Amino acid sequence: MKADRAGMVRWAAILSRFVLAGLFLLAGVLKIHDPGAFARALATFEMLPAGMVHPTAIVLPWVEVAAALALLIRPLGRDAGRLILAALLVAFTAAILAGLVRGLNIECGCFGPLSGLLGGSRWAVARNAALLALLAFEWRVR
Amino acid sequence: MKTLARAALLVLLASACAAGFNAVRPNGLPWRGDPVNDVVEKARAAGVKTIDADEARRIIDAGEHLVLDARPASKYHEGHLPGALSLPAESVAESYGDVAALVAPDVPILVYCTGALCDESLQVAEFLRQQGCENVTLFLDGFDAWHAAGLPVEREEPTP
Repeated sequence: MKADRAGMVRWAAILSRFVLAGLFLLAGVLKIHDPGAFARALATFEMLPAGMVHPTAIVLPWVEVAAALALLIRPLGRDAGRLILAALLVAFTAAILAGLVRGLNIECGCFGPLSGLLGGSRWAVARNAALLALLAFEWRVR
Repeated sequence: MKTLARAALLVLLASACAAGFNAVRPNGLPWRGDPVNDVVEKARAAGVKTIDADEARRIIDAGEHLVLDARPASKYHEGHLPGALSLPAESVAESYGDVAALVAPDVPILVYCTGALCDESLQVAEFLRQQGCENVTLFLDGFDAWHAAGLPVEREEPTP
């Protein structure tokens, strides 16, 4: 009975890993497809210095893809992937919350052209909180 | 510590891939640039005039311009500038037929999207220029600035 439960938890962790990696791969690839749109989304947050908007828009989607691949491919370093994904989720959520405090209910640009279908800032905060919980679960069980 | 070092290495590798891919892709983003100025400069290069909210209000009040909303149709239905018609940038070629009868080379046209950081209005303005429209103006600050200024907004029921 105990073994069954442990097996289920392990499968749930594997499923969580694939969900997280899949979402970040999708988010990264969509942003890589149109870096200009992501740069504009970043600029709406008014948090980065103007000179950092384009470099961030170019590099950050690739970091998402690298972290997602690391989560899936053990030799790349799963813990490193987890660490990066956690840092990204915390940073994205902090940026969105800071925007909400300033009265900005903006599309986060998290999923490139699909962002408009996924609701505004409040939904993004809820989604990121859920993903952080999923990551914490997956990291704990691993 | 090992995890941190691996994470740093992953970020470095990702940065190298990003730089390489950005250098070879046809629509690579310049490392230096400001998204707002990019839109203004592209508009200028395309021969499209840009105006602010005060000028946009004067134009709307005068009622002499054909006003086009370049945002997705769903956003248009949620609220748009008075008298504006929808011509979404995402389907501009397909949707152009809906407004083509109102467009002529000498008809002044005002185009807008969400705000200074969107480029849908620029895409539509460039498309209209290709159709022979000579007097296209871009309301740079867009719907968000109009709405934030408390100016009147029209809403429509989405068509089934």
